[in-house]
Amino acid sequence: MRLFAKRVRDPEVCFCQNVVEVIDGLTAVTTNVAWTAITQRVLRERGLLDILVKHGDNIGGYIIEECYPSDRNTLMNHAEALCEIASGGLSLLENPPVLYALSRVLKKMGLYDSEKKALLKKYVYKGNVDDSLLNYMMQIFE
Amino acid sequence: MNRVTYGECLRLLLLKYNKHFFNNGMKLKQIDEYEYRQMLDSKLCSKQDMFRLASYPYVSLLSKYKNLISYEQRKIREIEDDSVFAFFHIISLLFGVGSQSEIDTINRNMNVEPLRSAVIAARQEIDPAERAPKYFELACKILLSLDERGYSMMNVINIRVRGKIPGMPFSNRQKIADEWFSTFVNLKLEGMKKVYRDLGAEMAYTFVVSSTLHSLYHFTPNRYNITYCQSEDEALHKVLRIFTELKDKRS
Repeated sequence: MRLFAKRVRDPEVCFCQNVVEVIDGLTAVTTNVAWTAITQRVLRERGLLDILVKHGDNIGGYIIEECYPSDRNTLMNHAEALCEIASGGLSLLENPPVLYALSRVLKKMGLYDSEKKALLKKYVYKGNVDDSLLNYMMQIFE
Repeated sequence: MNRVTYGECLRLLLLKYNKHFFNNGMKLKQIDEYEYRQMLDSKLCSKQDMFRLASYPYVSLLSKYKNLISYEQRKIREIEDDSVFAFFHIISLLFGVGSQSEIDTINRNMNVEPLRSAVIAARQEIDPAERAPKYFELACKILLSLDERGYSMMNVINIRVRGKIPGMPFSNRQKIADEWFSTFVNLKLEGMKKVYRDLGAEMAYTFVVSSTLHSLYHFTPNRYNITYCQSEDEALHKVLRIFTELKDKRS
């Protein structure tokens, strides 16, 4: 019921929730050893681990409302971190549950199509893709 | 006139032919946990340092329990042997020592869960030199956690002893045994990683073998009669031979 849950509107908490959503996709295809290592490495490299440490324990008690950073660079850093977690150890094309989890999160983040395409090109296709295939894949992310 | 007594004569003769007869006999020198921890924190420079680090035996599973009847003691001893053997067998296979068919099976399964997780997690290490020891550590733990029910995606590392400890219902003996084996494996792998980093892969495997044999001797010194061995090396070889013969007989 969560009658007494706190309603939170904070970009950092929202980012934590998005990380959990991507990890949820990863749990379908790999074990806790792999996704823990990937998430720790990515968040540490991008300086985002503190956010997870700060809010990680409380996130279960919140009702989280969608809220994203107004600074475009911070938003892109968050989006890239999520893409890197999803594709850190596995090919996204070979693991549809992870791809769908990532698409669900990226859809909510309010990224421009050009930004989404750049992310797809970098993390899904690792740079090797033509525009027609990229446009086809964009259907999942729109 | 001084006459030599029969006893003295015998003693002199034996001294001549066996210089070790009147000594206390061969004993393996082992270090304690404090020294082990200190060595883990410092840099290992030579083979001697490695062998010294390997001489920390940990404690036996039997010493974790009190008031055991002889049947229970025997059963726990068997489980202890089986568990240590499982660790030894798996780490040897990971280092490429053992039957070719088993090594091939492990190599084939590196692309399949749960071993794929060990590969993925090892790749996340920033320092490339850390990747191989990390893989050995995780793969060993994952393979030791496998049972007849397979593995759990959410808790793939769950090391358990090989067998069921005899005890009353609701007794925590099984839990104690699982914790003991988990600590045993962690200690050995911690040392292995340290040696791998400082002295390389070959020394890391030598460390694991030597360390396991020290533990086996420490757990049941009476089984391995090393009194007349000339050196520690020979004594460890004898421990290995007797242990593998014992395992062959049981299986």
